[in-house]
Order: sequence, then C-alpha cells, then structure tokens
Amino acid sequence: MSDPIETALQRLRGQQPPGGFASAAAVRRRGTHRTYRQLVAAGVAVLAVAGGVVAGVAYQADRRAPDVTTSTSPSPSKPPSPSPSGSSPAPRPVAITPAMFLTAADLGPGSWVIDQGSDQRADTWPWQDICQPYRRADYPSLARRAEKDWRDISRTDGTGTVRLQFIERYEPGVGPRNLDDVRARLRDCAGLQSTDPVVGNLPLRWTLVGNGFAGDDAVLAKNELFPKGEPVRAYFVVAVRVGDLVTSIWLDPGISEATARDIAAKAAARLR
Amino acid sequence: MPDSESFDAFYRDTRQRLFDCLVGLTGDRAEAQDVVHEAYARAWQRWQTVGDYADPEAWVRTVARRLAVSQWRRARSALRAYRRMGPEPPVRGPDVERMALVSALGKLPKKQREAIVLHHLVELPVAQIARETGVPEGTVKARLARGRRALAALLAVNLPEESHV
Repeated sequence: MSDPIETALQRLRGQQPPGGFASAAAVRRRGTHRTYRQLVAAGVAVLAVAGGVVAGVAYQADRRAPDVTTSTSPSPSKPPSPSPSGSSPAPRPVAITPAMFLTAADLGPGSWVIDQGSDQRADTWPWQDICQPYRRADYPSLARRAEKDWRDISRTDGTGTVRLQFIERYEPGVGPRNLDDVRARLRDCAGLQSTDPVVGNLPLRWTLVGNGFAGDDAVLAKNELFPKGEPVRAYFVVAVRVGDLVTSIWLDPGISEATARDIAAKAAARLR
Repeated sequence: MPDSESFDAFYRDTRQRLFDCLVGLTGDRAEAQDVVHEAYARAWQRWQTVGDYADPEAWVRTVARRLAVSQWRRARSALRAYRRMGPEPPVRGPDVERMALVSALGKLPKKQREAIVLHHLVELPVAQIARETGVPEGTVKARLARGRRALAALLAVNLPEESHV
C-alpha cells in the first residue's frame, strides 16, 4: 500500500515557475552583477573608513533605531530652543507603531493574514525596483529616512494574492520631499519598460494617475503589465503622506481606482 | 574563469527539483521562482569552489532554504512578483487538492515542514537531512513523525503503521 503522504506530495512535483525558468546565461549574469554590487559596496565602506568622510551616511540613516534622535533634534535634558527665524519648531518625530498599519477590516471583503516584516533592510525603498536603472542619489529624501517597517498581507483562501504596505518615517520636514521623489521616480519610469531578463522581460508601464487625494499629500500610480498573448493586467499603488510619515500600499489587480483611493484614505487616518 | 558549461548543465539538471522543494517550503510559486534564481546566482558566484563539491546540489539547496525562511525575502519577492507579472493568473481548473496540500503544509511548524518536504518531496534520506539541517538523525525522525501525523490529520488521510522512517 502506498504511503498517503508520499502520494499527496507528488502533486507538488513538476510545476513551472510563473515566469518560467530563467536561462542559465541569465542566472550567471545575475550572479556576476551580484558580485559586482558586493565589490562596489565593499569599496564604499573602505572609503568611508579610510577617509573619515560621510560615505555611507544614507545607509546609516536607514539603520537608525526608531527613536534615536539626530543632532538636529532637541536633547532630552534641554527644552527645545526656538528656531532662528522665530517660526514654530519642527514637528516632533512620530515613531512607526503597529496601529499605523491597515487592518483586515480596512481591506474589504475576504479573509486576510497580515504578517509583520521583521528584517528591516537598510538599502531599500519601496519604489526603487519599479524600473531600471535606479540610482539612490537621484532621490535626495532617501538619505534622510529615519525608520521603515512593512506588512505582508495575504489572503487565507490559498490564492497566494499578496498586498504589501510599507510605512517610512523621514526626518522632520523631509516627508513632503519624499512624495516629490515618488513622483520623480514615476516620471523616470514612464513609458514602456522591460523587466529583469531573469524573469522573462515582461513589458510594463507605470502611470501617475492621481495626486493629493488623501492625507497631507498622496500619489496614485497605475502599473500595467503586458503578458504575451494574454490580456493586460493592471494594479494600483498608492503613497500617502501624513506629516513626515509616508505609507506605500501595493494593491490587488482588480481593485478599482475608487477603492484604491478609499484604502488610501483609511491608511491616512491610521497615520494621524 | 568558472566553467559555464558545467554550471549550465548543473542548473538544467537540478532546477526543477529545487523549485519543487521551494514550492513545498514556501507554498508560493512566485516566491519559489525568485529564491531558486537567487540561489543559483550565488552558486555561480562561487562556482569554482562549489562546482568541485561532491554534492553541489546540497549546497544550493541549503542556500535556497535559508533564503526562503527570511521575512525579507518574502516581502521582497512578493513585491517583485507584482512588479514583474502581477499575481498568478487564474488557474485553469483549480487543483483543489494541491491547494489543500499547500495550505496544510503551511500550517506545520517550520522544522516539521522542512523535514517532510526534504524527505518526501526531495527524497533525501534521513541522514542527509540531518547533515543539511545540522541536527541529529533522531531529531529529523521525530520531526518527520510529528509532521506526518499532523499532515495526515489536516488532509484527513489514514497513515499506515508508522514504520516509514
């Protein structure tokens, strides 16, 4: 008699990746690029140590613990001094808290699992991979990000559908600049793009479709994917700013523009 | 210069097994795809060394397993999956049994799932699983036994007398 566990697991064999297997040449290129990036990163670190310069400042800014104050923040032992211009002091940094993330109730019909993203990698920005090339230096707010966290949201019905919500906190006064950088990134990625050859060169297009509809500021972006011989697929991504907090939410295909705006409003309310 | 011909042959011969393994571990084909490609890219970085190992497949499988358990990988690959191809297209004639199996595997504790997948899907003997996961053989057997019982309950199947491992 056959083993029922063995028999059941047979069903998982022989499936194909959604984008097909990359060619061996493409995998080798990916490995070679990875080596190159590691060498560049190592070189930057050596320069920073040897020269005592500020190379890597952007990296360190991202690695700060959530509530670490910077030299521009008031010392706990002293009252904040008035700004030279006599205007109101910079807003107090607000740390990212779990209550700032969307909940299952905000996400509409269906049953959801929301996982905490625990590994806060310093070198990433939610918008950096939407097209190539990407140069961090082109988006100046990124060097002044103080904190980042995210949630991975999936359906419990086994369809594997995933949403993502990122929340970033920027240094006082830098939040508005980050939304400018999001818009700049969308401009830089306008037009038909080809993705990484490792996953099959699927053409896609990013379009900025809305501004300022939620929170203190907001961006609504649409991504259209053009699979060969299949209908175009599209989904929305929203970025919403409240003060110096910015949340970016990747939404399911099939979510309408109106629903995307509604979810953005809910996200803004949770950041207040 | 690493030998690209031997790497290419290795990749072609082993990628399906690794992909099957990752599907079992992650329950997500898009994530499994990304991890597989990343693991082989890392193998190519060190191919002059890894290619001489007695079992380079074990090396790349270990790298892939470690990549797969990282929350960071999960978030990043999900983002990439969206960027590159959107969610998986609707399955033609959904395989309910496969979905139930993936769901049941996902409910097992990670170590038990790992033992089940490596033994029953990748067909590794207990001794090799022990080497690759860095635990004694007895621990692997215990994880297999517990995992099999849990999986059988979740799938509502009866196990034969437990002489399997």
